[in-house]
Amino acid sequence: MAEKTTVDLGLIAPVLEEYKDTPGSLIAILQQTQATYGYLPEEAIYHIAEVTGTAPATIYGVATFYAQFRLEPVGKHLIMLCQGTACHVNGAELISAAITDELGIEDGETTEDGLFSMEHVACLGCCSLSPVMMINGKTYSTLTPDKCRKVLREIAKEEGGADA
Amino acid sequence: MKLVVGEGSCGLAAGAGAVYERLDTLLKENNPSGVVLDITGCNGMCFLEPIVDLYDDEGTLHRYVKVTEKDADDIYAAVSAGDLSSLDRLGITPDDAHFLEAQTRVATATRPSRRS
Amino acid sequence: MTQDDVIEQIDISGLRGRGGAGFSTAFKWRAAKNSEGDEKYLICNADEGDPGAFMDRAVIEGDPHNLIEGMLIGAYAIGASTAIVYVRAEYPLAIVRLEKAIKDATERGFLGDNIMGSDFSCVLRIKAGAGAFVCGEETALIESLEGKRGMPRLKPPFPAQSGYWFKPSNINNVETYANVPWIINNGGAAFAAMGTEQSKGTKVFALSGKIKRGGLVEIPMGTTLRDVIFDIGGGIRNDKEFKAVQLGGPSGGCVPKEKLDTVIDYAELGKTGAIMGSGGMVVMDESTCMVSMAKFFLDFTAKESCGKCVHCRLGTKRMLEVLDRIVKGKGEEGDIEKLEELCYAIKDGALCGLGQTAPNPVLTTIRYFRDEFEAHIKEQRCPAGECRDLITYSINKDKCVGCSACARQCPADAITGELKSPFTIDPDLCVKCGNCITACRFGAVEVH
Repeated sequence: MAEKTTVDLGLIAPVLEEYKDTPGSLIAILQQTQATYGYLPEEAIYHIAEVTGTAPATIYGVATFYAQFRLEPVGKHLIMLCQGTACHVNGAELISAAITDELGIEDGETTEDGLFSMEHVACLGCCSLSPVMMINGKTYSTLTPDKCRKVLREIAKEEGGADA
Repeated sequence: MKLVVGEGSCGLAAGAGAVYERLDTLLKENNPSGVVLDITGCNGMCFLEPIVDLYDDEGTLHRYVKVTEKDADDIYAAVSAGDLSSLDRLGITPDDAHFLEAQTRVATATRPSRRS
Repeated sequence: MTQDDVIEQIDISGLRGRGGAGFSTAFKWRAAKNSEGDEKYLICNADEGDPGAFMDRAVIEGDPHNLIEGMLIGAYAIGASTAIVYVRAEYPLAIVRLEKAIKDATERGFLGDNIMGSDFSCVLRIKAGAGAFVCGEETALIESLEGKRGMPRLKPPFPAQSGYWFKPSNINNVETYANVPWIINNGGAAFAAMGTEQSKGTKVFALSGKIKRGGLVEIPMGTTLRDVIFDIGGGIRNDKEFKAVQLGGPSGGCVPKEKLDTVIDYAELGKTGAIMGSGGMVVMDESTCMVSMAKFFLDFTAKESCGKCVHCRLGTKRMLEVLDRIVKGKGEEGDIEKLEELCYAIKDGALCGLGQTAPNPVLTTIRYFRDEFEAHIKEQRCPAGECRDLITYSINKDKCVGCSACARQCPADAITGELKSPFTIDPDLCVKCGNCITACRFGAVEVH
């Protein structure tokens, strides 16, 4: 598990300055906060509560409602595996099993070395090229368990780590 | 002459990004006059991505499908030589073209760019 | 054209909401225009939550200006000076392209104050979703725009009277707005000349699944499903047998072979038990287990349930429990009846359209594929050979040459044998991942 370090709240000062008086901007604030830290640290949530005058419980309510928000840090390479209908029909389950097999992680987990995390996500919209996964913004399509393993191994190699 | 690479999410997922980069590199290195490179969105023929649309000097469209990064070199070579016949192997088949021809496009109608 | 002129053309065109509900667009616009108040909002629902749908993504990425134009016409018609596009978080490229389009349009005077020198001013901004299917429901979307949990509101009042910040708002799907410029340019009658009596114009479908040619298909209403799947789509991959086509995502249903000549029309599709939906069209073949499909959709709706109403929150969960038991071979006598009872209860009591239609995939799969449910329950057998707990992998001794390719790929070390002799799979260790099937060049691995 990646270690949690002390959070520098100054990093989200500009976001809060921009939005603090705009009603209905909580989701935008949380999105920018997550973009800054990679997840939503507890300290950040309490800080946002203080600055915007919103109850922490309300913020937690919103953060836990939407799938995009994470309350834990994720690995360097976030594997988003599409769970759409077409991907399901064309074998997304097998891809998930291949990832679990290769990296030892299930949906929502991160590898010991903090390199990879896997998340089952809702439809990415590339249905004709299913099964699909997205890693750090790059899309990989028409996956087979083999093709998927190759992609993961290449990324691991580039990171300089030994083969899993 | 204009080369347009389909860069919708599906095109990118199929590797269109690499095709565009290669064409861009080749065109910048060699600088043939009158050849413009641009991108477009998804035209709906996801099963044929990556797609490169070539508009020749008369404005006629030549559609090349399932284009790989290596094919990009061939496309560039054909464009420089002024002879597109070697690219016939990448051309869309009548069966596949039927996919688009049988449709009635209103909401997803593509409007060709007027920029030259 | 005056505001009423614009709405008149939309009325003549017969345009119905393309997001799935199929409500008259002109009716909604007129209602918003006639609502009292100077502060009105025009909202575009680009949440496209149906798994298997990507029509809206293609429009935003490929022709964002068409969407902007459609929205501006709508904003003018209802008297809104602020327009918002709510785009799902899972479409980062669409957001980037739309942002650029808005910037370009603003620079050229198509957005902002006194558009093209007229009295009409309108700004357009993007709001990214954060990952919640329920935000595709219009009132839940409004709640999300207001920075809250996306939980639907009771209707009435409708958004046209009380929407974003309780002001009159009009919400339409991307595809609905994308048709508007064409309608204004060519006249409502031209649009109405296409399609059927009750369903005018064209519809865009996202064809995918076990299909040879998958992608976006836009055809006039009245085209048959058969034409779309077999003529345009080229039929089933690897020439397997067509089994069913899923329309309308988690709110829709599976249409079987017998109904392939159904024409694409809101009412006709409704009769089959499915819905038009937003356009997702996923094709399935003989290797797809329909019970597993029903469970897949329930997995989705149960997870995405916002939790506000008991019927959806608990109902989907209980249905999922039953379906989970069935696919694992632990189905019991009376399970099908229990599912049906839950389905009708949820349809009756759920607060929003998404909850009310969540039972549809289960109802249609039971209606057309009851035999598969019975095989799972009574015989612990999966006819399609898909449910992992009900199938066994084995090696055909007559075809196996003992090359060990399968054993080397097996993650569970379940395959053993001596080289050049047939290998065997230990069913207790086998996890049915399929690696061996892919590895074997002799087709010796069989699924029962």
